[in-house]
Amino acid sequence: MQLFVNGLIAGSLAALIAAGLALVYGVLGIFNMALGQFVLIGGYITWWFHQGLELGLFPSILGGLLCGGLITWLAFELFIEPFYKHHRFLPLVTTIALSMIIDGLILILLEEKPHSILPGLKNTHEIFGAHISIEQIVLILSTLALLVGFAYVFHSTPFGRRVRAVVQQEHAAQSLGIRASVLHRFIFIMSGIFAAAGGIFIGIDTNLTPVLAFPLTIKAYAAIIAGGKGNIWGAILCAYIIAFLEQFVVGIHWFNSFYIPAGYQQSVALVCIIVFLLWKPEGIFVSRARSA
Amino acid sequence: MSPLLLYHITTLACLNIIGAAGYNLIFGRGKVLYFGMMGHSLIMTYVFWVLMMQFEFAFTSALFITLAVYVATSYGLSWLSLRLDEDAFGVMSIALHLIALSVALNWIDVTRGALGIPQIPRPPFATSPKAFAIFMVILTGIVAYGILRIERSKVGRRITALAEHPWYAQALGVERSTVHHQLFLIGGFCALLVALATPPFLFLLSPIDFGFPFMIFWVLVVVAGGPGSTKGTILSGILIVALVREGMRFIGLPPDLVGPIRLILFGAVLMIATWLRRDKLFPAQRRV
Repeated sequence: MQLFVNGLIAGSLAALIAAGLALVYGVLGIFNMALGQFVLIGGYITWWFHQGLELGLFPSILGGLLCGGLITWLAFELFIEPFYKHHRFLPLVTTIALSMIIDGLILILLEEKPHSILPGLKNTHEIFGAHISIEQIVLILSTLALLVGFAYVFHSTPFGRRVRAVVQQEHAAQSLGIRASVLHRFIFIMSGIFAAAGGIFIGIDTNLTPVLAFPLTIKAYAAIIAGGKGNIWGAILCAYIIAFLEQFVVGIHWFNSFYIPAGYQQSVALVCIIVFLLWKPEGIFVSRARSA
Repeated sequence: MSPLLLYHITTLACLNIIGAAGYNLIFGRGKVLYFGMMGHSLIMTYVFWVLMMQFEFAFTSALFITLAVYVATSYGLSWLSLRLDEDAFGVMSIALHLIALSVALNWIDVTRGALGIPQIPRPPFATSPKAFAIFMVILTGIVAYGILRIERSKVGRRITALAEHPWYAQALGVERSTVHHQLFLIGGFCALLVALATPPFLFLLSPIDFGFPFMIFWVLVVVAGGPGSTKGTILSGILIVALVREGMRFIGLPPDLVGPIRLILFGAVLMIATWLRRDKLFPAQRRV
């Protein structure tokens, strides 16, 4: 049961990050290798507002999300927009450059020390034999609420219909008067806000450290590859599945004879990437482009 | 500058030029989105040096097995590049590198994990830093000459043709699978040389020296030197290793700032180089 709860916590975080990324991949077809750094930026800014400037938790979270969105927008204008129409692989290189710059800045400003938005021991409660803190319950429920809100906007509003139209067939959407370039920016900023929310999640639940960035990016990519590139709901579901797999692979006493070392936990997402690309490169849930 | 430091920088530049020159052929000239060259080198490094140091194989036996692994992995990577979409292969190559790294770090009984394997010997004719540096300069010269010859040969023209326009190239009889096999065999050979030479240079086989940032360093060298240009790769390899990677030590920065500032500089150079080379890195197809 504890493994299930741990999987739920890790899956909520991964789903949050993967949802935004899947949308970006679906619309722009680009890989953002600085995603993990956007996660850290949101978390660190919230930590600075709360611990450094001693603002309340909610204003700090709002500030973290806002600054995360702002920095993502700047990143889009400087590192994505001048390149992605030229060739969709160029942002893969430029976002690697961006991730190096952000990593360097984080190391200079905050060093490698772990930072927690809510430091100190958290009170845990036993539910069905599993230990879980109030903060973790709130985080899981907030993620679900955020994803439900996202689903509502995406499927039940005129704005969501415009986004889906651009995802399905950009040129046709443009010919119907939808300003795709504005939506591109908006979607990229949304993915940054989702990533920042993920960083806040980490900062509240555990600690923020610079080494987290790359594994988070890889895990999110594993989810979107497994879920079907550009399929948001597939990515969210697969983020949860990969998180559960990570917990169970290293947490189970296999055949009552051996444990898989915890060091291999990060490799679960990598194995998922390889298996899905070889076995089902289009992912579990295929989203087909509409054709006229 | 002390002679020892000069030998150190020379050897380091040579190691990176060999790796980057092979990578340039795949990524720069062949336009194959591939980030697994360092991972490929990591696999061969561990096969050869673990057999030599941990299992006490004779040099020739270890080399023979490593060559078999080199051919098998090169063909494997080539097969994957043919089977998968371009971007999927790029992501797959990152995943393969990270899995190889994870095994090297966690299979402690065999690899000694993060501690690495110490006391890796240098070849008897290059035990001193000076002799090793000279050996590496000669080796780099041979590799660079070989790759320049390949570029101007039929193989090089086929690689360029396929990268520029796959359909037309195939219509003219260029076989994609043959070209990819050749690309990964040549690139893999450069990775093999790096695998054989890096641990003796450091007297240590450590997984940390094969991390993903070192792969990005090769991307940086190739992009900065001009994708597809071997001469540019050699020049940028020398300049970036000497001025940015090692030169940072001499500008009087506090030791804890050197690493992060180097990272920022690498990122900035990669960004500027990509901006300047955006037409060459992934060019638009020629129109007939």
